[in-house]
Amino acid sequence: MARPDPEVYLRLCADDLAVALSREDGRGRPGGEPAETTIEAIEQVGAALALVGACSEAAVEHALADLVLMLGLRDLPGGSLEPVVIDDDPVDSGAGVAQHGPELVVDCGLRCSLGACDLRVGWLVRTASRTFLHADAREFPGPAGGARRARSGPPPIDDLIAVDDAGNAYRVEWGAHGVEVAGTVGEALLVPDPPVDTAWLELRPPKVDPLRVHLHRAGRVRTGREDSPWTPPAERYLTHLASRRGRGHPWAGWSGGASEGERCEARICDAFVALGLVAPDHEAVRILGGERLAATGDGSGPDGWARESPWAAPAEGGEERYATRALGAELPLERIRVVLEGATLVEHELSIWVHVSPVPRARPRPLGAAHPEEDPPWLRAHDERGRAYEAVRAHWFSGEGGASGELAFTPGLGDDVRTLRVVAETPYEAAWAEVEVPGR
Amino acid sequence: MTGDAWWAGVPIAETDVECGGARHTLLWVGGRLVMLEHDEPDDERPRLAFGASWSTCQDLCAAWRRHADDIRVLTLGPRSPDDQIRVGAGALDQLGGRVHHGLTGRAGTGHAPPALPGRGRPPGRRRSPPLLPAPAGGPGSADDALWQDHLELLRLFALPRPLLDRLVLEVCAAQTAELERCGGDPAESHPALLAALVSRVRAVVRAWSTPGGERPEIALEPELHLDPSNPGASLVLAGGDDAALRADVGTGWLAGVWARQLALVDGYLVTELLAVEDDWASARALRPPSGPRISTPRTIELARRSGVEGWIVVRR
Repeated sequence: MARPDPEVYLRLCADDLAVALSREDGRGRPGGEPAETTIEAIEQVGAALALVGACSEAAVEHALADLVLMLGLRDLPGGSLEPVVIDDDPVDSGAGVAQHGPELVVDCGLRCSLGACDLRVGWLVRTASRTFLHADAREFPGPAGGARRARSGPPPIDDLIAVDDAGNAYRVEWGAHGVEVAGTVGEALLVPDPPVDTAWLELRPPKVDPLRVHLHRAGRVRTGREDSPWTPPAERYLTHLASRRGRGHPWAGWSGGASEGERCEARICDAFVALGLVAPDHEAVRILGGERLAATGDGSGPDGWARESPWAAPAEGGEERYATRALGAELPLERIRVVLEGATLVEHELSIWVHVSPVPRARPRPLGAAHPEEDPPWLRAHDERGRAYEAVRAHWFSGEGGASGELAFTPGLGDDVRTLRVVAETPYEAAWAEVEVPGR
Repeated sequence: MTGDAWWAGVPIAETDVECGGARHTLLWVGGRLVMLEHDEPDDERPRLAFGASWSTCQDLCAAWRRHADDIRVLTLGPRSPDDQIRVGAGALDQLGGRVHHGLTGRAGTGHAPPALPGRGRPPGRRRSPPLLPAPAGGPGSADDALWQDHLELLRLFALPRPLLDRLVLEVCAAQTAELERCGGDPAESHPALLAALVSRVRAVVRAWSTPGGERPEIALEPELHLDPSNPGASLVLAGGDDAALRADVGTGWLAGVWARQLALVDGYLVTELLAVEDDWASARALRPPSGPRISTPRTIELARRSGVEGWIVVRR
């Protein structure tokens, strides 16, 4: 039997939804799933088809836009009559992607007290248009030594200034950042952006000696391509999803019953099988498909996986161990640009900050907590003794032709770990970098 | 079916429009929408800027012509007679469109006078899919034309159903003609067109195989194949005792059968239209299922219902 075209398949899924919703008089899909949930599943199927190259991103977006408008024309839930934006140009890939993201990363290692916070600066990043510091600001405890309070915004850092070798001064302002109860982490921008020929920058915090940072490439991180046996992208994608199954997603805050993410994964599985992208007896299909709903528990995963925040308070009476290391390692991937900017180690928790460009499209805005946003690259690692680690997304920011943010590795690193081989993988290729653990 | 005009056997439909303080009539006849109280809009006349206006009648006619080969009409439009499109005036108002209230559609029982010309122009290439600005700027922004394209499509979907059905028929005919002509690159629209075809086929087979909600022992497995010049769906209908029947329907079925409301008549599933006149048609069809066995297609004759949309089987 001839295989259906992926776009036809996607459009027929949308058609099924419209029919089901019409029969239910708009109250929901048979089986009790709300419409938004099912739209989410179709969106995720579309994104997956685009990701593995079965369907163009524009075709997926057109099909999804038609779905929403089709529902809107029938006054069904999840529908809208609003026009949508679709860019028919394919996402840049290959050599073009190198125009975005870090061009230089250098160590800083600055710690200082500003008015309201304890600021750590791990490294400095230069891109074609920006210069920023990787900053981690912890608020000081309250007046009576009480618990740290949640802030509505990041603590001010304008007491810190920078001066270059030509005598120009720069303000330091928060750029992309994440705010949590215990602190703020992200990019501290130098404003205005220093000239291209700047030789060094001096960070001048109050009450602390200035720190001079020379803007030249320092040590080199070893990288290489991972020559694993070739696997079709769709199989690789499902295998990746299957490897996550049952572990929960510590950052998504899922709770209760079979998660929507697992339903989405099962539908992706169904689509890949129906389209002949994977064999129906593939191990990943077994894991993600038939056993999906019966096997799932509360979504929180096994004990020990619900990790604490990396900003958890240090042990009583002592200060947490904290170290950073600039990496500036561009991985030798051909279809996507991935730069490991730097690494932080807080106690035993290792995080690597990465820049990715371009960000895969055809993944419309999520309609709620659902399928984990596991856009490639997927990072994993193993240490000298072969122990495996997996990365989950923590802070994540979009912009400048791509996205960047923190991937936190789990489980925590043992005291004896000195080096990790970090592997970044997409459905098409994989590459590695040898990362020395900060502070060791 | 060969030789007959694509609109043959499709009755006149009309609607009243509030236009300049008066009630005017738009008439679909002979495969085109015409105005009774105005001159024809000039096809070459450029689209007006957002907010500017011809008469309401001219606006609708111009919009109709612009979208008469627009695959989105088929992609988004009704799947079956029961598939209700509900574009409310409030929704259009909210989007900034000029809403035409008081449209009251009437499907006539008359037919196209032979002297009327056919379509003013051949169906063009597939119109580009919506490339619209985010609604943040709203109507009146620099993207007027794109907004207007979206809004006029919605306005067409707000037309009374008999007229909307005829617009859908025009699009089906245009898409089929385009594929037959193959002057451009029809592959661009194949997936959307094929999905539109299969969705209609499935709706018809669903209604055919489950009359009154009963579910006979018939399984449907639409088997799809892509042919560069004639994308279509092969249906494999399998009953008990390994009885199976294969019926191929291409995009021609959309314009020739489905859009003429001939797909399901008195329980017969029409797979091919053999000939059609104003009030009469002959077709190959599967008789209503009874039990696990499926009959082979047979030739039937149909007559138009008097005074209403639809057909009845008069000879089987």
